[in-house]
Amino acid sequence: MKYSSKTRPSVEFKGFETPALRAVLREASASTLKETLERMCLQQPDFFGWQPVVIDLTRLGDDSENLDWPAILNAFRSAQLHPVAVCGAPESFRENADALCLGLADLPDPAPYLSRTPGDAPAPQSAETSASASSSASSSPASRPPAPPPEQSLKPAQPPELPLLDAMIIDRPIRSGQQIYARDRDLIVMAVVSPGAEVIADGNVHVYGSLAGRAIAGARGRRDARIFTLDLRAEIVAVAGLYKTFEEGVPENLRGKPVQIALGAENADALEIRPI
Amino acid sequence: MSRVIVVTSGKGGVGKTTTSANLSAGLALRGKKVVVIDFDVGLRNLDLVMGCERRVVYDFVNVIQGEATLNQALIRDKNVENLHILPASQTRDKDALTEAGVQKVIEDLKEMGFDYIVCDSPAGIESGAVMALTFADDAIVVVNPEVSSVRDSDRIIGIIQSRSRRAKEGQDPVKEYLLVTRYSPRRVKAGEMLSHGDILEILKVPLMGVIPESQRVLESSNQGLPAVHQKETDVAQAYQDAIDRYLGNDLPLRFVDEEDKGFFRRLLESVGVGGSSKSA
Repeated sequence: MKYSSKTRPSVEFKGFETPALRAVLREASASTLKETLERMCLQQPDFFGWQPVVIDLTRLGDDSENLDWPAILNAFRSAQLHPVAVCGAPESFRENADALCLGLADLPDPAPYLSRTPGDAPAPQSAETSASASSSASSSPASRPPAPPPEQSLKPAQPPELPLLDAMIIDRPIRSGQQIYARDRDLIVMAVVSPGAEVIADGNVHVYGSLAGRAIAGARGRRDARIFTLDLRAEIVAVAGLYKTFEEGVPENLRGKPVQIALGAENADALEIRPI
Repeated sequence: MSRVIVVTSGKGGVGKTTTSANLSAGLALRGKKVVVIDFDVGLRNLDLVMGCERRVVYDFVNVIQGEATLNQALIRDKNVENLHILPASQTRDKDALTEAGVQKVIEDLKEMGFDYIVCDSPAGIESGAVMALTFADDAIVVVNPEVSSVRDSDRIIGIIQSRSRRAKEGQDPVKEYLLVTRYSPRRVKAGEMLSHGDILEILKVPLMGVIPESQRVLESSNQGLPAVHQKETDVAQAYQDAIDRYLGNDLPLRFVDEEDKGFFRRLLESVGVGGSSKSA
């Protein structure tokens, strides 16, 4: 399509959202990195499919001063990953970025609480329904569990209350196979979410329509996040890592009416579904 | 101004090629200049359905690779003026299609003055199907009244919305039309099949038409003559209605209610006598 130069500028900037990976380096060796990536791609060379990757140096400490950058970038690109930025870079990186001609942006460190977790994402724990939670010996109703010591932890430490940005609003159906992730904010969908679709938010998820597929609220640990929908038909719902499936379908008393899904007020280890 | 129409579905075997053939023939019968392209490289069947399989000398891949010109590859339809077919290769596979190559062919076809360029997509969501929808202005999503077909169509609609040129360049989105095929009102009434209303609820795409299940379709592809030429049949009429709706005329849906036929009429029809060819 050709536009008249009188009516449109030669370049226009529009939004583009795409998931990116964050590669947390634990060793400063480019050759080890290359070997590890090769192993990951052995079965399927296009496993990563040219996803953008942010290289996270926060775990390297002083080792990050002496990285063989050309070799590291080459290792990622050989695995069909597209390095676009670094985060957690030392001062020397910032000063020498031009000299190194890397063309990589320098992003701020990831949220502080992420560096306190001993492992990677917590294993999701299956939630009990609120009906069967009566006899569980969990924490008292009013308090949240304190940050557990690192060697026993399965859940992330309670993150600091990060302010949420404006909600992401989508007003067309989310189709099977599509995945929407609202990072650091709520997600509002003003249409249906199809079976096989996924809606994910760090904040709350609101669906003003039928919610089939998967819904995940509090994706990075916010325990007060909720899922709201006018008609629950989901396959899986999760809040802050606790998930629930509906193998027998949605319970009769909750079908076809507006509901909200949240961690229990009394039992914070259970996912409660209540009519609105 | 040419319109590029992709006929796609996700699921295989639902009626894309049949629809591409009938759509192109129907538009050409109305005086439009139409070309229909088979994007199913390696598994071509548009040429069979259109009845020109013995006249294929050069194909789409030959043109893209510069081994033949468009004029050499295009086949004139014997039944309708203004209708041309660009067949696929049978010996190569879909990797032979490149985005730049396909783009050039479509631009050349636009310059040749075609009103409609119909792209018959292969099944699936891989590169062949994506190539067929990349340059589309309009998308006709073909769906059977059956749950896996509906699920797959939902998937392909999502892909059209994210991977078409129009989507990637931020232009007006591809216009979507839903075409329900192989519809049997009797089975819908018996609760065995989804109704067109149910499908519309799930997919939320404007309904272009409902084509009834019919033995005519098999006969047509065996004969190499699209059903739309046999004007008195229900399939032909349903396709004509659908084309009219695509062109902007709002018509009521036909062939969606079970007819209450008397015994005698059903008897006559079962031996092939009578206008409508619905099997009892």
